[in-house]
Amino acid sequence: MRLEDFLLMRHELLLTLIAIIILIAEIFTDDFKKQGIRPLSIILMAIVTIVGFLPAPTGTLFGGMYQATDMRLMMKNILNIGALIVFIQSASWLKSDDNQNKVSEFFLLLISTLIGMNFMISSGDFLMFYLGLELATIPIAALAAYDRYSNKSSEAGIKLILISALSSGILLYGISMIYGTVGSVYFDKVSVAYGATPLQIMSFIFFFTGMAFKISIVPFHLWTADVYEGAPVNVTSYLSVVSKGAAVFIFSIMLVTVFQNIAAMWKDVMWITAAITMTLGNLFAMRQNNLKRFLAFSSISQAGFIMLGIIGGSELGMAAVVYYILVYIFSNLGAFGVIAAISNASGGKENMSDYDGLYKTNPALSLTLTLALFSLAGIPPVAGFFGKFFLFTAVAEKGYWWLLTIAVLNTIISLYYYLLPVKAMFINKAETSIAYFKSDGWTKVGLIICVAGMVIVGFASVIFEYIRTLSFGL
Amino acid sequence: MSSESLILFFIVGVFLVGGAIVFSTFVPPSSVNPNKSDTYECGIPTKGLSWLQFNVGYYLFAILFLIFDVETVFIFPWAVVMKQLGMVAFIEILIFFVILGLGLLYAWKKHALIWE
Amino acid sequence: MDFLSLFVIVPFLTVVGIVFCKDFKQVRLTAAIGMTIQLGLAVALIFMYLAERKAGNMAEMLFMADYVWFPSLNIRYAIGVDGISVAMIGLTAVVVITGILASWEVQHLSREFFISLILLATGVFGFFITIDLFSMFLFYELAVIPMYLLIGLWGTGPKEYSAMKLTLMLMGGSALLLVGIFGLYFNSNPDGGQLTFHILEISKVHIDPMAQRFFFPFTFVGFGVLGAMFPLHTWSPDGHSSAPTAVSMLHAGVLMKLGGYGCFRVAIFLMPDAAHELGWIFLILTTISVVYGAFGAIQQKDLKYINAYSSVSHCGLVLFAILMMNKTSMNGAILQMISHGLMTALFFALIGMIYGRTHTRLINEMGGLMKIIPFLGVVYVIAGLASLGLPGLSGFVAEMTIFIGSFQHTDTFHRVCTIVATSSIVITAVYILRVVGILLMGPIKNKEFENLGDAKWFERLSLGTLVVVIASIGLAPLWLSNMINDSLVPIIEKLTMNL
Repeated sequence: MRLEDFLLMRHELLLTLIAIIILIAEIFTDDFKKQGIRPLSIILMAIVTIVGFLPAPTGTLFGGMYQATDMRLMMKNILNIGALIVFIQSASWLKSDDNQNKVSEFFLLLISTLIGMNFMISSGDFLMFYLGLELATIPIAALAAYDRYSNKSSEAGIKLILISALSSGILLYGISMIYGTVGSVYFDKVSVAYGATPLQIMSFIFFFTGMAFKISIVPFHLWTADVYEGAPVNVTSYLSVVSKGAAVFIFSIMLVTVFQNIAAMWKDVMWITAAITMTLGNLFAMRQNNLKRFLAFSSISQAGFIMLGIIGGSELGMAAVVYYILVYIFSNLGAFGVIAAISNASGGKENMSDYDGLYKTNPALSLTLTLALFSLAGIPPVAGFFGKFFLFTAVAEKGYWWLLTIAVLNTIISLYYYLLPVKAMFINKAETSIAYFKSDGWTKVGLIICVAGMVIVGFASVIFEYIRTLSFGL
Repeated sequence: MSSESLILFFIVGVFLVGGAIVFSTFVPPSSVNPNKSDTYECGIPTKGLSWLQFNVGYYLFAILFLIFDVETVFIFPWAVVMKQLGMVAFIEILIFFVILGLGLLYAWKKHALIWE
Repeated sequence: MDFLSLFVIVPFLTVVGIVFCKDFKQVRLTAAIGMTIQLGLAVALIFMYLAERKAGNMAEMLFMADYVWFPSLNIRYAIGVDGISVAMIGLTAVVVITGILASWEVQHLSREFFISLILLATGVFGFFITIDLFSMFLFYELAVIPMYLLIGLWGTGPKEYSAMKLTLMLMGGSALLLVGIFGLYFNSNPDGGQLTFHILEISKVHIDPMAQRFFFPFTFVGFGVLGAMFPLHTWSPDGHSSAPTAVSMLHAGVLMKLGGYGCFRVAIFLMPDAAHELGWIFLILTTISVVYGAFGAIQQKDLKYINAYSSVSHCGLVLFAILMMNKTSMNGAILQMISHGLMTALFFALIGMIYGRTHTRLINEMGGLMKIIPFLGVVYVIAGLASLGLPGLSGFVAEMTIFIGSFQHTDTFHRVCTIVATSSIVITAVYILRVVGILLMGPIKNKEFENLGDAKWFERLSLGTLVVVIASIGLAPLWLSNMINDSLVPIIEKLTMNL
């Protein structure tokens, strides 16, 4: 192994490095200096994010176990952006008294999940994939239970760990069947040898189910709402954006490469699950009052939309998925950022009815949330419109007209519930709306990044075009 | 073994286990009373919520033990091939040790090594 | 910098200007100045267009500009106008400025109000200048979404319900439209070359008739929702009656025209085969809209509901005329869009002003208003007469042209539809005269109304502008009609090409 080969793994290595730096900082600082860890972690993460965009070589390592292509590097960069925004948004929340003594743990656990996701995305065989997946999941369960004095938070942690154990088990069972029939765990070997024998189809179903749990596709979505509601807002936002994004990335890569031989079959499966996921996610979201639950169900239906791009299966579809995740990171984190800011400032107010008349008292936050919700609903001029448009293009390109019709009708259903918080903030009158408060610098920076992202990523076509050029070589 | 027989095995398995459960609900005589649905059919009734805090000290020790247990697993194969791999392998295992040592330091700093 | 993009840039700059305004007076002044510039631009555009045509430039679209936006999908920001879009831009500019004047005294959150209103206008202007389906769709949605806040925040009555209903139904229409747009895009190059969203380029291709049959209903219904086509018109009465004055004006006057314009420019123009084949279904529906809307208007007691139903009827007539698919009727359709846009804006402005004084919109609570507020009363009568098609006002020109065009079809089906639709003229006369009689004539019913003041200067300006434009179109329709006719030539050619 030559020294240059390390450059291929720079995302993972850098993240490991900053994890160690934060750990050392935690060990060798006194309690009263611990506050410095927050800015330190954020700055380190920012550096890693920027370094990730520098041009770098591509290639494979460990005999094909690890693959670094331009597209996968782009995916990692997108996840880095998401993690960075989550870091920035958590800064003010971590300052509270309850969290003082576990600040560095938050960053350490998040970074280790990010390392896991990066390995997962770069995996060239099932073993590496599985290792990455586990590393990406288990620390999040600890984070979901981060709020020590809240029963719901512990419940979320337990539920998450049980569900991820179950889904990993199912996934592993599928992988073992794949190994049993093909005799290899390398993606390139499997993709060639994979056929449509009954056992292989069954192995695919197991694999699909396992992944469906991770992405929370209906009917494997039931854990999502409870976990999202129970976990602290910042963890939820990470879970719903970065974690889900990573799973979608690797899932789409594997579907179009490893399982290309049975594409006709998985497309049918995806067709049905995508339609159900969108519709049910939307129908459930309509009836939610807690905003975190609300966004949990909305993220389920968003997963259904993202699947449209995967069903397209073309380069365009791939580009649309990656682009949409980028847009989704900014929009969803924007929404969660506002909810977190309000929740922190008002002592845990997270219900939609608490937001009545918010525009009068906190116009900037209301506008940000409105913009984020519009972006999620896919309304111009924000980026969500472009993202959804490209996903629809990808699915229309392959002639799935009825699926497209179901999808566009679902955008209308989703528009209904995305307008509900807008209605609460702008139109509803409240006797006691949440008082005006001043957000601290970090929160502002986080939200400004999100708003800028939502506006720029859409109009600046270069971003989509760049992703599009990458998508030719997965 | 062909895949068909595996699937057959799967189906038969499901039917055998499922059949046993279904069968057992019909055959034996059943007597229903409130005591039956208690958590423990004998002994004293449970009191209070099950949301209890319990000492996590055991787990901490178990986890620490596990880490160093796995470390030995990792070092054995390294020791076998150390001579062939040379300096690179030595540096790599050193990095591994340092990270592990940091972990131990962290546990120490967090008072995980004190039995409270 | 091309000239047409100014129609999007000026409103945008106005919005930016409003953001930095200090108080309510500055806000409305900025809005008015911005939209006056816009009106000036529109007038200039009309003259430039006529001059260009006179100079012998017979291109299908003028002042074209084309910027590639997303090269890999061939999405472009392409703009260009023909006589029809020029006329619609002129209409929009007039209605927007009068709308701003009519809402001169909106004090509650005035900044947000004017920003939303002008954003809506931006969407509409953008829709009319663009000839690329993607940008067209973008502007369409941009025009619809501010409606939610406009109605929900500044509306009256069951505003939240109406706002939600209107937004969802219109966005639902746009969703169906999206399917149609994709259908056009992926069939835009049967030889396997570069696909395109550009309307002119698609119009040169003969799209596979099977695809046309599938996508025509999506596109037509998508736009038809906005054009209040029966049975998808239900958002219109609720929405219009809950909306604040300026929004009703803009919405009925301009936004509903987006539907007609879109049906015409996208659905019929690009998919002529399917239009010929499936047109009859929609012709029946639009005939129902025309008559149903008129009957609905007779039933209502609320002034805004009356006008909303009358809008359903008149906009139904637009779609009806478009579906007749000959030059005369289509010319009539465009004239009707303009005439109805002005007329209905005038109506809603008047209703808003009357409501602002009497605080009721129920006609049987009012009476004898002519004696108290003669200016508003007279203008109301003029608007009513224009609406029922009195010669000399714009309504007559439009309806006359439509029915002459429709009668050119000699088969029974078209004849029956035409005759049924024509009957709406009588019904229109009934509901207009009924309202005029109850509202304006007779004794003064409510003593409290005796001290009401007549129109203020900005109201007079707003109403006066509209009346002048209506009358000038009614008296000298030919220049407008000719401008439209020239632009109809390529469209009619395309329509009759494959028969």
